[in-house]
Amino acid sequence: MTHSLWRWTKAAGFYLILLGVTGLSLLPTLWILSTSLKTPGEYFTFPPIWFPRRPTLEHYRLLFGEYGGVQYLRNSLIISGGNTLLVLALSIPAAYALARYRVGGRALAFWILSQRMLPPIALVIPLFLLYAKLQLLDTFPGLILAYTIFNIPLAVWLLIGFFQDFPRDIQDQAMVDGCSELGSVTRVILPVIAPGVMVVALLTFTLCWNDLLLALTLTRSSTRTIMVFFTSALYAPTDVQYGSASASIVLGIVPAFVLTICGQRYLVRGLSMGGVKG
Amino acid sequence: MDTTTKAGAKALSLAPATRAALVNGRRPTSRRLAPWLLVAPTLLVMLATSVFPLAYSLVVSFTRYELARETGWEFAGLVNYRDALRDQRFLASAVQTAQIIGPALVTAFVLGFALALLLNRPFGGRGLFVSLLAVPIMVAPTAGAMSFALMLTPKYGAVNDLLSILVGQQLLIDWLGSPTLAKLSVAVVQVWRWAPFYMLVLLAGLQAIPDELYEAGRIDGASPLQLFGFITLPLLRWPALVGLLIGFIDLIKIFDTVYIMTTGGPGGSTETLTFYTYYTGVRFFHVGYGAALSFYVLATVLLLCVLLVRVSGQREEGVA
Repeated sequence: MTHSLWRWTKAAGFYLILLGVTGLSLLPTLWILSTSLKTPGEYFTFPPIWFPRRPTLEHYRLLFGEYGGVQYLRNSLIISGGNTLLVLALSIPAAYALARYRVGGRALAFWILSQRMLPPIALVIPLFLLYAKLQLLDTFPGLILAYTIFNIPLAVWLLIGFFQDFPRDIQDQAMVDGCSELGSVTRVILPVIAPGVMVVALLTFTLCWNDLLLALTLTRSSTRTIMVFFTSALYAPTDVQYGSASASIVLGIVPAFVLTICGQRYLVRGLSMGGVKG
Repeated sequence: MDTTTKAGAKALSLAPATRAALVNGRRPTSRRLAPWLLVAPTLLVMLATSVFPLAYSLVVSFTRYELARETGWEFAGLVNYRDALRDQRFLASAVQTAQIIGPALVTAFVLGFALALLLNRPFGGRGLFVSLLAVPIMVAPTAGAMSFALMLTPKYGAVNDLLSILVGQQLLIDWLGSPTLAKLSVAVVQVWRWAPFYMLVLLAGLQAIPDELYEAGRIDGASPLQLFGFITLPLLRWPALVGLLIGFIDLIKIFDTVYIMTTGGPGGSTETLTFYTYYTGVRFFHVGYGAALSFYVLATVLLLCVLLVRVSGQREEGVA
């Protein structure tokens, strides 16, 4: 009797701790969500109200209407989407050649990976100067290209792993059966490693979507991303627009949630660049 | 071109490639070049977006180039690099970066480890909890910093309200108002983001430890504490070390949080290396000097990367 009571208390304590930590971890995100649904009167109440009494979508309407939020979301989508497509188009063949034929040996693969570690600031200054000269500042091609610097190494590195994990004999068998090498890749290997490719695409997209430094330096009015818009929305000159800022943050966070739910298993590997076995 | 072909030939001499050459042995020359053609576009893009800009920046760093004035490319030798070492604001930014990320990294690691230990057992809703706890990793740093900025506002924020309830009296702490508290606030955001990362890394490490080791230990009469000290800790050493280095390499570039929460303030007390370099080079147009500063940052990261490679290399040898 006392034994089962003890076990029950232990389990309850365990879940209580876990719920507490999870709550703290999600608090910033939930706070933003809550603020985005409050009226200005509610978020300027002291002491603060945690849940909106009369939830309103007014800030989202303002964001999409007067503040032109759609444009920034669209810009972010074009840049992140374009970059993801470009990165995949370049990395899939490269990773295949590196995995199957060991082009350039370990040195080349390692050099590509090492680019990922470059501090962005070291590239921001020359890109700023070069883009100004080439008139690539504030253009979509310029931004889509700029993000390849950090996303190609990550994509190539992860894809090499997927290609290497694919059993060589199955590909050989397909080729003996009359498949061309290209056919064996597109019709045999890629469909099998598709979930991995998907994760690479999602990671590339999110890293691009989340970036501030490059976007801040290389965008002006016509390609401004949602992340750059955040920074101006919170500190708007006329008034502190907590509500609209929160609404824009909520929209900016959505891709992250999709990714976390879809690719959790590969997350460790992706984020640690294969440095940690997981 | 010559070296390219040589390297290609060398690559082909490896076993898997030879097999492929045997399967399709009709056109040896094109076979040998085809893999290079697959890598070529990627290498070209990297050359254009990374190698060339870096080389360009290196040249700029040896000049007095300023965008705001018509200085042109006046060669200045190592002047910018020398000035940087006398620039109190730059040196302070290095110290402040360390003051922010050092404690943040240690705290994140300890918390992440505790969470990993807590989660390393079967229980209902485990997958859900791991996923929810991993969310901060993927939230845009910008968005995370904005959320914290809102939560830390003295009167309307959640943090003071929560603390007031805990302490039992009304608190109105200005979290971003004093140098120490501002650094602490920026550090807390990093802990929030990196603790889940260490949780995932160390949880994966814990799960890779075979149960037989613990069973054998128990049969030999080891206490739970001994099992932890003699089995768990030594086997987590490499993932932990590599994870910490990765965190260090990433955090040393910290920019977003500072830019949004404090814009380097109050009184420059939260200016970090990347932040100060960005303002110098991009905002104030001292591009020559900014480029030199960025190479100091690059050198630091490079040093850490060499360390990382050494450590990973040692681990692989240790395992094999």
